[in-house]
Amino acid sequence: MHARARAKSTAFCRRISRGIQLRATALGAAAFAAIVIGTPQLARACSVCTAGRDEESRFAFILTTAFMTILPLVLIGGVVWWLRSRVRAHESAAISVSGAPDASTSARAARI
Amino acid sequence: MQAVSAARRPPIVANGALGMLIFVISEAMLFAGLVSAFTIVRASAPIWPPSDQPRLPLEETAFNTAALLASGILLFAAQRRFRSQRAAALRPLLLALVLGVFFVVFQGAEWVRLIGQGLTLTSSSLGSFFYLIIGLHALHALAALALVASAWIRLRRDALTPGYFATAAVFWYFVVGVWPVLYLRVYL
Repeated sequence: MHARARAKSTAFCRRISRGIQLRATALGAAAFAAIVIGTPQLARACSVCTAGRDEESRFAFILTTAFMTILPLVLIGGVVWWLRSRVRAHESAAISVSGAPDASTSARAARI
Repeated sequence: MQAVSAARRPPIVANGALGMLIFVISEAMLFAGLVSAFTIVRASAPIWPPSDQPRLPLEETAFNTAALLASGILLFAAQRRFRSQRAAALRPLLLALVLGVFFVVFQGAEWVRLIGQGLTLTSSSLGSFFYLIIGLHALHALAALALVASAWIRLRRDALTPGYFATAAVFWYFVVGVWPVLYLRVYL
């Protein structure tokens, strides 16, 4: 009888503590959401956020964003394209000189 | 077997030149970031350039730009001559070097004049961006000139390899190529 009462009270305490934990989690999530939504407006952390108010600066933002997005793609793409064209020229020169696909290929074929 | 075939094959691009290309790409992004920031600040300013600041020397710098472009062309000519006859590349390479030195010295003289007229790093956002962007370019120009000068010395000693020459040339082409963009954005 005594053991059953103790088990009941333990289960009750656990339920309460779980409820408190859930409530604390919900409160924590709500506080985090409030900070995430509200703080940037208060802080104005971005140093140029006050700039884009007129049409000219809005256009500058869009232009520079596009520029900064496209430039690395163009640069890396250009280097890859140039390397590819050099490899092709190299291979075609090797074919025309040796009459075989490549000196290394023929050497490999001889060993096989 | 693969190691043997790799040893027989000449490299498609010299290691130094490829490394320099990758470095140049990262530097291009650095300049792009600075020019973008300058463009936004310029577009947001009610009056540009600031009324109390001196005007940037457009005509003199246009002349200096022509000297730098000519230097790039001469380096290209030197590279072409180097492939056929090494000794013939000495003169265009030296001329390219001299024009590059002229560009840096001329820029330095312009800076001294502008500082005297009141355009300093802290006088306005124009001064801050001008000295930051153009100064960074001048640093790159000095480093590239040192590389081209060492290539010329090696060529005189008949010790210049095509890979070393290509590495120096890639850096100098970057310095020459980025300058017109800076001139158009910062000066005009």
